[in-house]
Amino acid sequence: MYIGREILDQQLIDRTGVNIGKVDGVVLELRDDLPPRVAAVLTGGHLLARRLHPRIESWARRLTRWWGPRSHDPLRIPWSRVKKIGVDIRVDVNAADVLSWEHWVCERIIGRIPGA
Amino acid sequence: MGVIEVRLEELLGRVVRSAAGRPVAVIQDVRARPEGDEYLISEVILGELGFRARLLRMLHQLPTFRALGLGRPYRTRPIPWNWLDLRDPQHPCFRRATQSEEP
Amino acid sequence: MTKLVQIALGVFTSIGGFLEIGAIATTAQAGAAFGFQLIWAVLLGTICVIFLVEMSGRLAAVSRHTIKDALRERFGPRVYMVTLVSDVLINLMVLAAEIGGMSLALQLVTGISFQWWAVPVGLLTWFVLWKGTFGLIENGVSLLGMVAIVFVVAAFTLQPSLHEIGAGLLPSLPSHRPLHYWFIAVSILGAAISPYLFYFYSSGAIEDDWDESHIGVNRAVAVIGMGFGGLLATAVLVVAAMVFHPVGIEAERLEQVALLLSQPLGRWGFYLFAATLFICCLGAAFELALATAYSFAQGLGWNWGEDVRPRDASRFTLVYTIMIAGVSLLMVSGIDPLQLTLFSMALTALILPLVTFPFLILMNDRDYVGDYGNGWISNTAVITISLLASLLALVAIPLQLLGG
Repeated sequence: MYIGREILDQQLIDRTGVNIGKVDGVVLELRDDLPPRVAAVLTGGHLLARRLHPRIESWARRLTRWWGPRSHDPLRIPWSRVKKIGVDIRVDVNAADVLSWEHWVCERIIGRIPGA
Repeated sequence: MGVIEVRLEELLGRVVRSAAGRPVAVIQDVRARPEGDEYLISEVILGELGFRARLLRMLHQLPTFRALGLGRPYRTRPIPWNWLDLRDPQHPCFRRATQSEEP
Repeated sequence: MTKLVQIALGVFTSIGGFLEIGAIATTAQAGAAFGFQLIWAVLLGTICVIFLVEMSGRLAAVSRHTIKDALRERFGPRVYMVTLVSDVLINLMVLAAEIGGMSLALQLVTGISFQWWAVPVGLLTWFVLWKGTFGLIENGVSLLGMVAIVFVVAAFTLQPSLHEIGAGLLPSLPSHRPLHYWFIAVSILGAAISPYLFYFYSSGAIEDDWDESHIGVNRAVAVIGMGFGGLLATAVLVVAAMVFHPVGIEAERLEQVALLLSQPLGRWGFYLFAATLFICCLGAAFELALATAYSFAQGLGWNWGEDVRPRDASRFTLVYTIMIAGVSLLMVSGIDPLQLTLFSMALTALILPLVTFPFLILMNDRDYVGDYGNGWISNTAVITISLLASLLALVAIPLQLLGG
């Protein structure tokens, strides 16, 4: 399996079929005298901004300092929770626990409009 | 030395240097094989350096240009994982001088 | 039989994507200034967009990815971001023109200045997206969009010379005002081959849950849907050629274009023109707002879908909400929607290869389309027409800015 082609930038889906995000990063564990192992996938945080350009990342950090959900760390999903790799990547995670930005937008903005 | 974590997305696209410091190739991808519950990296796929090679690759991917003789397939080669030192993702390099020669 | 109903997606895409204020304005100007001479531009644009729409549907049906989704996965975040930024900028301009178009249609009918209509029109567009489902909007616009057939009816009543129309199908050099001629040709190509149109279509195919069994239907829908749009645009050009060209009316302002149907069809023509303009611009507004929200959501991995409740796709909903709100408020200031439209069409033509080449790479990549990859005709047609449109734009735009 080619990690760059088949895992990075693919869509992550939770237990119930809800979109969680794209794989923005993959953590590799380098070990002495043993092949590196695929440790986790990452999504969110400022990873995407960082991959575009470091300056864009600092700009994004400044912009979100005052609003948005409190935590801006990327979500780390251990490889053991990756269940199925196909059209998209299914992970054993609950969307309700992890979608901080989506929930923030829902609570603060969209949820306040009648009929949401 | 223990265990070090590096990010794949920081490795992709980086220039790989020989043990002597000469730029040799670019990291295209990594290949992993399942071992039990784990996926272990078996090879690092290296690609050609240079903008021209990438431009020719793009042209080659469109059959119309290919039929006109424009474009060239992008050359990649798989390198065993232990030939490369990836501890510093900004400066990946070959461990030993002889290994960076073209096979 | 149920598969035939899918034609609604094609017709909807066509009405909103093809025949909107940009297409109406440019084809009316083309007919007024050059008679039947520019029909070839409409034909070329129609052919290209048929291929592109068919490809979008095929990609979605086989790979279960939309174009934007696949662009990020295949080419990475940098390429995706470049397409996102250019999309958003152009979509904003075109949406402004469509809100303007709807407001102008209401101004024609009520006499109340279009600036007052911008916010109500924006609210209507937003509300339908907020409450409606994809199927409802798709079928609604397709049905209501049938009013555009009035252009074909008008064209018939004017009894144009078929011989002259046939001559117009072949590209010809202009006898006067060459700069204007080529600029209008470029604008027509940009109006017809709008990226938001086929980005929207690929998302629509996923919304309608297409799979490999829809490949044949997709082909029919693309040809019939976009062909229909091309036919309507040609009808506008023909009517303008018969009504405006002989008396030298330029059709530069909407008040002039509005008279397009008044000669052949009298008072009814005037109201039908306003109705057609309104519905086509409404369809376009839906497509543009959704296409932009899709662009964000599909590349960034958000939950999305018109059938999903707003609270379950909050960020997706936020994008189209902000877009519509921002643009409507902008149009209150009274910017001329026609000028805005022409500029964005020409720009679209200029960057066309940047949009189509990555898409074509996807359509020739077995990992995405398996055995259903592009044939040589699709590849060659799209590459050729994209390059042609871009080269023409590269030459015509600076000359128009300097001379026009």
